[in-house]
Amino acid sequence: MREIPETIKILDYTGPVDYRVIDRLAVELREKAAGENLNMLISKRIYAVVVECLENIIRYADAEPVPNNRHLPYLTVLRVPGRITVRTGNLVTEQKASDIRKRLDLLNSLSYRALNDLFEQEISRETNPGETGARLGFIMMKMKSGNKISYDIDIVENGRIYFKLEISINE
Amino acid sequence: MRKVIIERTAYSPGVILDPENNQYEISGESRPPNALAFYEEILSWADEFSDWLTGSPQVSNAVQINLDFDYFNSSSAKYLLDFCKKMTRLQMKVNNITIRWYYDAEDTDMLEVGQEMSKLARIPFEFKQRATS
Repeated sequence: MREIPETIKILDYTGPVDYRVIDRLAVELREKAAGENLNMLISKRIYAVVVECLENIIRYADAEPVPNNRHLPYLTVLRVPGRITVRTGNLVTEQKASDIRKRLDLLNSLSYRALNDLFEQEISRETNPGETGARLGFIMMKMKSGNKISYDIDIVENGRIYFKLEISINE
Repeated sequence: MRKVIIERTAYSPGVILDPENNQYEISGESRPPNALAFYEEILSWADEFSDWLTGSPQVSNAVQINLDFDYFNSSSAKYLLDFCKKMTRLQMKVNNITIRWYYDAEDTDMLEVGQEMSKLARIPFEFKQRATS
């Protein structure tokens, strides 16, 4: 009989995200990761990806909320055999969804060396007023992951998009 | 020369920049809600420190700056690099600045990002493995 892979939910949150929520989830993630006996490097990679994901939700959360608390931001961290998967979703404007897609398509197309070159350019670049600061965040997430960043979108209404990301970290 | 002391929190690093006691350290976790506001003070101190040190030939103590992070986010990374670049410029004038970068033996990512920072700031770091507990 085929064995069903065991999936363990390490973190699961749905609701508004602010810096207090990040603090709370950061503590919870550390505790849960310790309970999973993950090695230090993997734990730190997961932590880095989760923090950048949550900060991105704050940076991009400028779309008007949908009534009745539909389409709230979410974040889950799952452990499946051989890897950890971080999934997030949040509302963004159409323009920002388009920017994020272009950014992720570019990052997913780059070799490790090209990604490192882009990291060097981006970290050394002056930040322009009005920038979200997420450009370097996506690069760091991709470097921590080592895998492609998957995304999907749901069109909500009135120029709003629910943007979903999936980032995997190999164990 | 003034000192900067900032208590460590769950989301922002502890900072000791104390010329009087020749102690210089930024340590802990860095993901402050407003990285610009947090690092502005450190960067402006670095400018004042450079002016003070280059204008004080009688000060001959070697300056060792310890960077000892558990984690820093992408916003903090930019400002840390700016700080290191300021120390590079100072090193070119006074030649007694050392940056020591701490990392855990298992945390090769922290070692690699330190090597990257050293390369980009053009100042050699001393890499120091933390003692395992």
